[in-house]
Amino acid sequence: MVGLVISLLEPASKGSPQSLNFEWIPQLGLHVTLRADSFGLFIALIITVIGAGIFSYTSEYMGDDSGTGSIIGWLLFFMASMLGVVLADNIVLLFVSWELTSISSYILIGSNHRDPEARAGAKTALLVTAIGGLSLLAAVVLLGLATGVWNLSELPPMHDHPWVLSIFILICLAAFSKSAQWPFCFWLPGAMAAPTPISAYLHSATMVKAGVILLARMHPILSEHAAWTPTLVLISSASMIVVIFAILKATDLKALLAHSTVGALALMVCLIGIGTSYALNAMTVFLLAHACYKAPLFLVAGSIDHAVHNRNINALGGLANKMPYTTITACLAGISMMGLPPMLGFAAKEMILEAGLSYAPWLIALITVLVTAFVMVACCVVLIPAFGKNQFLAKKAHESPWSMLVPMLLISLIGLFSGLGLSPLERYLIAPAVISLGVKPTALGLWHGFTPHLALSALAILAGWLAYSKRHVLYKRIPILPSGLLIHDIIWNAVLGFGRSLTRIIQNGSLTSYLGTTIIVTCALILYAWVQVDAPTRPSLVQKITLAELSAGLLIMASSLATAFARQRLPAIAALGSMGMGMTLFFIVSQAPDLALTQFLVEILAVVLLVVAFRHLPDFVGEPIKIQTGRLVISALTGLTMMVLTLVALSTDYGQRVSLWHGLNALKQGHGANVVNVILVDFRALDTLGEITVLSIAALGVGVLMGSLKQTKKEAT
Amino acid sequence: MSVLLILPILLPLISASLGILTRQHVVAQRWVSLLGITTYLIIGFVLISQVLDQGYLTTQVGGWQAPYGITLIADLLAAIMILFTGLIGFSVLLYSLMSSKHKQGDFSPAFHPLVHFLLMGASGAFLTGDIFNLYVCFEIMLMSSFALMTLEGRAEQTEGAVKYVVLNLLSSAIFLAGLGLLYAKAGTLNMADISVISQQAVADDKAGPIRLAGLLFLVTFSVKAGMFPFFFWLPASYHTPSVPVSALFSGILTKVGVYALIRLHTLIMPGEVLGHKLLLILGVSTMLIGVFGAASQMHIRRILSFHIISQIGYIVVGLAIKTPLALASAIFFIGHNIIAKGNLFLVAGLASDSVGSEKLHKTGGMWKAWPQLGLIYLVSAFSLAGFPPLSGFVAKFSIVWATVESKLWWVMAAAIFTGLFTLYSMIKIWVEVFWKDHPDPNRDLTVGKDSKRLVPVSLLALITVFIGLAGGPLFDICLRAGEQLVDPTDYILAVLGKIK
Amino acid sequence: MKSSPILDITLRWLVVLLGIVSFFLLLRGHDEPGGGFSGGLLAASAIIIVTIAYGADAGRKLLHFQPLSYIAVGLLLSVLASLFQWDTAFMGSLWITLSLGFTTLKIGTPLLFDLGVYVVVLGVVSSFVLEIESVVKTKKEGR
Repeated sequence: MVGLVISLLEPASKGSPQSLNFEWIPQLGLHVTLRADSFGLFIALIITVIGAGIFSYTSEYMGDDSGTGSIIGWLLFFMASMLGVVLADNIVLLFVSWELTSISSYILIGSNHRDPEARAGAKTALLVTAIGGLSLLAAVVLLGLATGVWNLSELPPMHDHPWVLSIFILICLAAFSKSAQWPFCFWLPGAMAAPTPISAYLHSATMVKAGVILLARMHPILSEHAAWTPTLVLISSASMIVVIFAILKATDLKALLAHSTVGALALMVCLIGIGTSYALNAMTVFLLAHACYKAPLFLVAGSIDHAVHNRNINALGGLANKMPYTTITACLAGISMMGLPPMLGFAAKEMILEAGLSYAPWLIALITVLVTAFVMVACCVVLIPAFGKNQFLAKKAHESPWSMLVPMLLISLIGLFSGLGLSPLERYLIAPAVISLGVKPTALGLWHGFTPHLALSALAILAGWLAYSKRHVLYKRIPILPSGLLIHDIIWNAVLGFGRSLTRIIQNGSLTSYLGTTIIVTCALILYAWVQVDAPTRPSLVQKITLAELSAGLLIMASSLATAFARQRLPAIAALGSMGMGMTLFFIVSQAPDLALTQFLVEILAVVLLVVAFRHLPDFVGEPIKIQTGRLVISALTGLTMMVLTLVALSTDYGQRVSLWHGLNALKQGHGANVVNVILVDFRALDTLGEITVLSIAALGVGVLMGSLKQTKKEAT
Repeated sequence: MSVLLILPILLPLISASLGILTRQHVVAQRWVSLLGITTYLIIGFVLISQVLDQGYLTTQVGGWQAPYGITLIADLLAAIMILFTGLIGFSVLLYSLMSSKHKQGDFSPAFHPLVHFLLMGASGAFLTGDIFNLYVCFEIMLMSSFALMTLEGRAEQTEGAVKYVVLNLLSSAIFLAGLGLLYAKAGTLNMADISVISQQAVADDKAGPIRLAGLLFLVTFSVKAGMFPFFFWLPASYHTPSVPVSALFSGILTKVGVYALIRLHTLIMPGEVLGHKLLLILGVSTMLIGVFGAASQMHIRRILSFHIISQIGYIVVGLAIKTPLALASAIFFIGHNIIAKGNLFLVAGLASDSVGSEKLHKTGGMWKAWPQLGLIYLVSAFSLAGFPPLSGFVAKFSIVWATVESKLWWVMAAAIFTGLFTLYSMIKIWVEVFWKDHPDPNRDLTVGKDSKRLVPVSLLALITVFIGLAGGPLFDICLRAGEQLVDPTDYILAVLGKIK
Repeated sequence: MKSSPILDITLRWLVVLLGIVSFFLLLRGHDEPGGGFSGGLLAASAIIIVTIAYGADAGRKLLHFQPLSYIAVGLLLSVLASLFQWDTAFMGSLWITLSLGFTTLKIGTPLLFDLGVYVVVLGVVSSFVLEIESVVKTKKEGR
């Protein structure tokens, strides 16, 4: 993989990046378009090189745990998706890869899934990054539909499009949540429940940088907008402040590192926000430097944890003798983190300070304090475990095996050598990468002469040392900031609580209320539509009624009332039967002998069946019916609606062509004088086939209910 | 090709009848059932390839010219629905047949015939061009689903089934009232013919009465589809029947309702007969209320049931926007949902068989005990939550696209919000069933493992992946289906042979 | 149940009569009121009467086959009837006129279809009454 990435570097630096393109869902702008430009390859190199180290380290670290294989699998899956994020040219593909990193990160954080903390951390991480993912989805669609272009490399700068502000906000949400910026910064410390090599890889070196990368990619497109610089600088400053407080409160090695990672990401966001070419240069260098020192430091923390099963800085000490190579790695990485020459970290820090100076005095002060905090973290992580006085844990410590040592040592050495060999680094990596971001490269150098920022860094180092030695005092004095996690939980619980009460009201378990709601809504819809729209076509309320119709109607009404008010079974059944006879009468009056005959038979059989079913049951005397207003209203509403519908139906607008045709052709084409029967068995025989199917199913259903076809037993066990 | 259109209706009917005749010979009945569903599935493939080729297939039943007889017609939407019905039916039957612990007589002899009757009703609903025939098909489905629901005869099932059947009978009554009104006003039951007349009525400014009938249909189909504020029956009943039955219901019942809504809105009452706004508001409320309901549940199948509602909302939003692309995404969503949701029900069944409960506080430990099942769950669950590159991603992405294209920002926001909460529920199940330890440390989770049943669930998971990866060509088909729906002229021409 | 000779004889005649009339209704249905549905209902009422009078076993014996089998066969008959014109139109009808000397008889596939309806209805209604009767009986004995 590394070799492949390096082989792509050459054409990319000459300005003709290799690309790959095939269609996926072209209708939705989704092509698999990969474009190996220099910036992408620069990050891809970090991903693959560190990744290679991590794989070696992980297999040893996890030992013979049965889950190791699956973790390596998920890590590979993650690496592929991360490469997709950095190399994708199509913005939809970028989104796809982005989401895949979220999934793999979720599973990897939860590797120790029997630990509730790991589960909670994984869940928070996923939900927060999902907010970002969904924002990115919206942003991508907006971007694509606004410009009609789906490739990053072809997107024009947009500052006067009406959607640009929404796009910007959505992109910010995506980037800030992924890169753990304020107000989303709380998920990253929670994600530290992952096995340490995974934290080193995903949550310091690669995945959390996706937000930064996204912002860097969007810089040429959106940075002209007035909100770009203030938003990014302010948000990142807020994150820095939170980080500084958090660092002073942390005692866990990994937590310290995690908070400082948030700080480092904030620096990068801030630099992109400043947006000058110098700042972007600084960001690029710092990105590399950070990956080269933070990942080894995490791995060191992992090795210590592996050796003594403890990561608390108040319990560690005296490991320098037992774990010499680990200590060397820690020192190398730590020096780079503190920003001391000759490491790459030094060069990066100098550039950051200079970029900050060009923006605003308050910002530079803030950055200085942050750098101070970094120094302190580095001291804590490197010095306490190695040379601390607390030695009782150290007795059983042992050096890590080579497969763990070599990767971390090598990665930290990159930081050293690239610091020493700045000019080839600049020529082959940094400069092309910066050019592909659309800005001019700046000459790199370890030594810039005696400048104000050199003084600032000296100050920071001194202050950091001071803070380190007085850390117990600070620990007690510093107030606890309201945790973002807490707020996150409160919001989620509020929304879930709302959902719960809403569901309890709507889905309350009472069939009566379900029926009532359905009927009321239906009637309201119909009556509203009738009143609103149809004033001119409303039929008259007065209709001619024959005596026979009237008597059939009265019979139906009387017997339905009798059914409702009957207090014993037999009278109720009898009343029901007489209602059916009323219907039969109606059919006779309307000259439909066939329907009348069928209705008549059905009614008789129904009554007989009901009597058969009920005759052996003890006679039942119901409570006298109480009239409930609510139900009365519903009934009245139903009656009114049905009346309206019937009245509307009385006049025909568009003829009865079909019924007339049926009447004319029953004998001629259907060979039958009984029109109804010809319709049933010929013209619309499919309906009849359906109806006898319904009847057959009803018979099966009765068999099931009565027990003769009941499922005997689900499982014989 | 009249045969091809009639087979999806006739074949299940024959399988069901033979199933009744062989009810006392378990092995024979199973073979009949399996043979029937396999043939059905093959016909589904043939049908869609024919429709892709020719645009529309029609047949006039009994040779009676439309609108006097009953017309069967397959456009792309119908063919897609038949195919997916076949896929889920096939997998569900395979699931119920492929159990290594199957004892003779485990299932009621009525199970297989009822499933085929249900398939018959669904096919009829998809293929018919006649609205009264649609009513008959609804009745077939209602009866068979009711019987399937009560198959085990537990009290909980009967309670759920009673709510189900009462609310659905109410909707049938409403449907019938609408049919009467429509027949009186328009004098026809043929949907293409109604379409012509309702457009005519709009032009004559006499659309009022027909609109009333349309509203009655809207209510009926909304009840069937499980839309707000008519979905009560669904969460009340879906978690009670046996697992394959739940999966089948989730795949077929509500989808037929949505299908009918699509026909109503695009064919029967096109134009401004029904308000787009009304549908849009109903869709969005359905989406949100469903997802809220799901988030508040602690029972696997109840969670999944509420998600059915929420996803119906997505589909209806696509329908309400009614551009070819929005309709295509709605159709894509239906297909995706049938597969992914059905599979989640089946996976939930396998998991709860092992852990012994469906209540989340009594589950756990499955990731260690049965990682293959865990992976299959992850595929389906992340697909449902709309993660790439799975089927749900294409569906969600295209819906969001459609809302942006129509500048319906609030709808887009609701869709995104719903996506987040869907994810929340999916990982809630994941954490509680798979990741956390089983509350009873002595329970041996491998005992309930039924490895043969991994075959159908893996099949469905593969289909989910395939739908996502082959999204391009599949979405093309959906787009063509969407274009057919937006302009019903060709449909009407195919049914009536001419336009008045 | 006590047997009474009057009841026995009346019932025997009634059942035969119902059977004939129901078949008559089925046959004439295409031209006069009647048809498979009402015919089937009438035939089923014979089963109901016997069941009420002598119990479910007697009803079953009169039916000879199980009601569910009637249903399946009836459905298949209707399907068969709809397949005669298979190549041109599903459910297309086919008619032939038989001359029997004293009268002509129209026989067509719709009649076969209606016969299917008749058999299904007979099966369904009998299955209702027989199921209910057996459950009621076991309940009563169980108590």
